Amino acid sequence: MSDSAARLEVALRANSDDLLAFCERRLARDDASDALAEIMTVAWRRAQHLPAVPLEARMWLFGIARNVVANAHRSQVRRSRLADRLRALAVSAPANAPAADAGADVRDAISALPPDLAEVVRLRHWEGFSLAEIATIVDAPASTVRSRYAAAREKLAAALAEPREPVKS
Amino acid sequence: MTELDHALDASAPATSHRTAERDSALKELISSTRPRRRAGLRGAAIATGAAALLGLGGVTAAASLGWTSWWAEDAVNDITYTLPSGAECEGILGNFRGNADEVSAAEDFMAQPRLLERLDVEAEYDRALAATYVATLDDGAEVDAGPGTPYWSADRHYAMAVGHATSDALYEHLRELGVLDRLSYETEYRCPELVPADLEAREIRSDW
Repeated sequence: MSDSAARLEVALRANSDDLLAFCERRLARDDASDALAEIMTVAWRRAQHLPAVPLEARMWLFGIARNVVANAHRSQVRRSRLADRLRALAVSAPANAPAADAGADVRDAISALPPDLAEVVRLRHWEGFSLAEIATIVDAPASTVRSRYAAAREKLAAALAEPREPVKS
Repeated sequence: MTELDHALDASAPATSHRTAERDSALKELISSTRPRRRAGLRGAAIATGAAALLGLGGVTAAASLGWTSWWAEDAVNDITYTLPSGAECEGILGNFRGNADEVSAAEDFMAQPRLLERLDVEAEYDRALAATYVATLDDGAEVDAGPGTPYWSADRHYAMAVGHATSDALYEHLRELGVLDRLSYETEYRCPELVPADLEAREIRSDW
């Protein structure tokens, strides 16, 4: 096994759970497994470009994941037999809390943001990345990411403060 | 942490539970998505006789021990398939050229560990069987060269069908992504002798 392949295997093992969660939060549960298979396939193909530092390798993998998920939104996710086992487990497994409808209004507000702003919010609050890490993942200057995040928070605060229709009983 | 931070943190959609079985499936996926490279693929390609084929769908016979294409060490994938006669063909795919987006997308597509499962080779071979073939003999006479005639090689046409199916699937994928522009790539195949040399040299026209 080459040095880059060995390092990638370590990086994938360390990050595959988080990468799957990343996909599950953005795609249908059965599509997430196929997207993860695609992420890993792309990562193997580009293994020679894997950063040597583990944290940077993690950012690199999430950069690939972001592109794969964006492609999945543009076209149908390809079914991969490689993901059969994982897909079966993911579809049948109970979900971690919260409940499916919890936070739906907040997710709607995030979705209503311009895509670049929404992505920063999701990476910050769903994946737990710092703004500096997000800058690496989205390949943008840190200052740009900071402004996007500030703008996103301002818009979200305004949107979520608006009176909502009362729930009909 | 503000109320907004709490609300944003709590809005993350639910994900599946981590279990030992899922851990095992993830490990399996890491392994199965790894490109399968032949042990000798990165070895020195020193033999002669294997031809690098420019363009798409071409097939050649080669009796060499290694790949001769200059890009062989960076081939994105290698494939092996069985011909109608039972013989095996091996090929490598590489030297993708075009704009950066289409090259990246094409390399990712072609690097799939089970690329052949994405292809509809049988449908392409059916089209080959249904096409019309005309051979020109030495005296200028034109004769049928389709299936069942001495000029037909099922192995050769099956191997060509693999090439056609590969390029068709690739270009369809790139069109779906909206990145297809001016992509080209090369293949090198190592197959048994697919057709006698005298027939190889004969002109055969086809509407396939």
